[in-house]
Amino acid sequence: MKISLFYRVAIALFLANIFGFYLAYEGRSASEAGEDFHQSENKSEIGSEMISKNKASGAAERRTAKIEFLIRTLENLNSKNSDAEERIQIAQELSKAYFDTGLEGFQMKISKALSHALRQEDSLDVVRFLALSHSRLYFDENTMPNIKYAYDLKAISFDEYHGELAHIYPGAPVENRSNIIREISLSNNRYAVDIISDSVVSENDIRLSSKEISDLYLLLETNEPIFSGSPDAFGYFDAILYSNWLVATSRLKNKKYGISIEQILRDKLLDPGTDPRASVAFLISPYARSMSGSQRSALRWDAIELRAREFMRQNPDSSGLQQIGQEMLSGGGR
Amino acid sequence: MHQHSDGQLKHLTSSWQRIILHRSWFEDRRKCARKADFLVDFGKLDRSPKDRQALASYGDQRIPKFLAGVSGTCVFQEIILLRKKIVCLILAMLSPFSVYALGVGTTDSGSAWTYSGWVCDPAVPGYQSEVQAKRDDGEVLGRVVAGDVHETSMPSACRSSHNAHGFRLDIEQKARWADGKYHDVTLYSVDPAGNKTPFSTFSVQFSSSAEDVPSPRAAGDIVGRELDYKKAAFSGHIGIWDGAKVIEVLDEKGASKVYRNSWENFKSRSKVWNTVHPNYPMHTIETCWAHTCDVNLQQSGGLRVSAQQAVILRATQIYMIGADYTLGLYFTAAEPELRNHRESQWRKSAVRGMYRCDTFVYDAFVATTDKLSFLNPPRYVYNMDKSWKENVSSLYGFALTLPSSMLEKIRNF
Repeated sequence: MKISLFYRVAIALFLANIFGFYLAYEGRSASEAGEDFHQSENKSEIGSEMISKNKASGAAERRTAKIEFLIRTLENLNSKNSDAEERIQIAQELSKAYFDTGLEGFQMKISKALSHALRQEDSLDVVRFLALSHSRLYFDENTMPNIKYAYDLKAISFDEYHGELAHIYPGAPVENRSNIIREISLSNNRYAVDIISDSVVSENDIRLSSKEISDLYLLLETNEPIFSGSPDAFGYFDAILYSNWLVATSRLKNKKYGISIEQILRDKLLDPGTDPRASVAFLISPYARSMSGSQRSALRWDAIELRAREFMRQNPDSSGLQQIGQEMLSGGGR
Repeated sequence: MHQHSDGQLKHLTSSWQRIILHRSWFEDRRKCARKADFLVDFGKLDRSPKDRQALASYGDQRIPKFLAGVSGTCVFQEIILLRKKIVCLILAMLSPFSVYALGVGTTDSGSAWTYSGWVCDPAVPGYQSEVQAKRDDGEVLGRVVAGDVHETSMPSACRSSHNAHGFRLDIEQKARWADGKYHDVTLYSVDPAGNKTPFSTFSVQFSSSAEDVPSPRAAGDIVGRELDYKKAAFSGHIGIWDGAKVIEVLDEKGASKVYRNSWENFKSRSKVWNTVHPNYPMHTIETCWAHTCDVNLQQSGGLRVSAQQAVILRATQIYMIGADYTLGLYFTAAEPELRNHRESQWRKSAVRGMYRCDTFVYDAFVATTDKLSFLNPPRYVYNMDKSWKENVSSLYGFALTLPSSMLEKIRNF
């Protein structure tokens, strides 16, 4: 009789919990408990100390036992004795457990188990899941080979591969970063550029070498986002991506050449060759909203706002532009 | 490319200028005399150590290696150019629609309102060019990035390491463009410096009236259509309008499964339903909307926005974090990567989301409330009416929920 997928996964997870609980119960050895008892001088605190230690130790051991069990289960599952969905669920549990356990040794064990399963896997759906789960763990020696393996198998797409490289980049060791940026630069992948821009904007304290600054700047500068669609179309989504790119590029240029960010932004936004929608996108961005009075005057805020308003006036039929632009310029622009 | 003095070239430190320089070389490739001038300039550059340093700074991926150290001769260049021209000519002949293609792209199909094909820029290998459509009366009809994976292997002339140079350009059916006349529409490839190269021209008749399905009117509108699967058309498909595009989760091979498609693309797939204009409340929400956030909101640069904006910001955040498609009703909320400015080594990785089209919309609406799918970064909601939270909660439950029923519930907000 074939047991349905749902029950098989449920039973596996249930057994993992039971097994973990058993080990936690047994794992608290009498010698450890006795040692605690004899070392403590203050007998009144012994009870509460032991209970809290027991609880902490029990919880930790239960977790580690569960992880061990899940690792063994994943090792034993393959396309002949399980469904793809089943293997994905076990891998999902392991990925969650990775951040629950603070133990470096166990994190490495999980990483190795996921990497091993990835290489043994027949189903592209599972390869995809394993690769994209593993790439979100801490960087280790398996990170890059795993996603490359999945990409070569076409289990993950062009955008997903380069997007994942962009996600990995900030947490990768310095020696790996230049390779990551080189690969993204060769692809000029727009999705990766969106993610890198967002990282540069949101991670103020990211430490970059001068070479990295140059490489990132060149990548971003080459891949300026566009406002797609008709010439008067204005979507909030495009606006967010554009303003992220603009602020990120300006920060990198500032670090590379020492020119003030206000001057960089001003030169770009008031350049006749720049799409006027860039001014609208910038003015509604969190970065612009947080600028002080002196920064705004250095930026020539009024000239930029005038350009944005002029464009809105010329395109009264663009509902997106009118609604987002007017609302935000009047409500949050100042 | 015109005559450059040593002084000019020496100070070409900006990569924009480097690209323009290189691009210009390609543009002038048929004019040997100018190219010779250019190469002579390179020859001069190579003489002083300072100039050698400047030349090295061009980077090997921007300037072909055969240029380095070349003096004023163009014989070798001519051989290479001739080879490229032959490849381009073959491509142009193979394409049934392309009337002018010079090694940068071709079109698979073209009609008044839709064009598709691929385009690449040999001067910046791998670059996903912008494609622009311009009509013979001077009207720019639309633009799009050629960033889709195309089935065709890119020709060697592209010098690209990938084939994600495909595009589909849907033209917005504006009333003023629907004049019932024949027009020549030229497609241009736009390089990083903004230079346009025409690569295809069509003579097409525009309809005499624009389609009567009105586009959504406000960012945050919810759009819906029948599911493009006949047996389950009633269950429907829904997405979020951002003011210019539909943000939707689709089960298609591609990016992060969160797509931005044009209204024309959306309505071309199946019968469209009346757009819902949710009655968004006036309360505000403050949180981090990026794909990487600090556990301390102050450090994340939290942004306080209206509920209407929050829906789109959350959709954008999910796009950045990445999400997969699931047919099931149960979803995994995409969680941003977390940092702690107090401990530079600490981080918690982002969690990829898993959504169906309706659970994606639901998650975007949840972001307008204090109902949390995940604990960090914190979300502060100011002056929210209790009924709004109840409305949002009612969108999702254990009972069978379909995209069509979710759309109707939002219509009644």
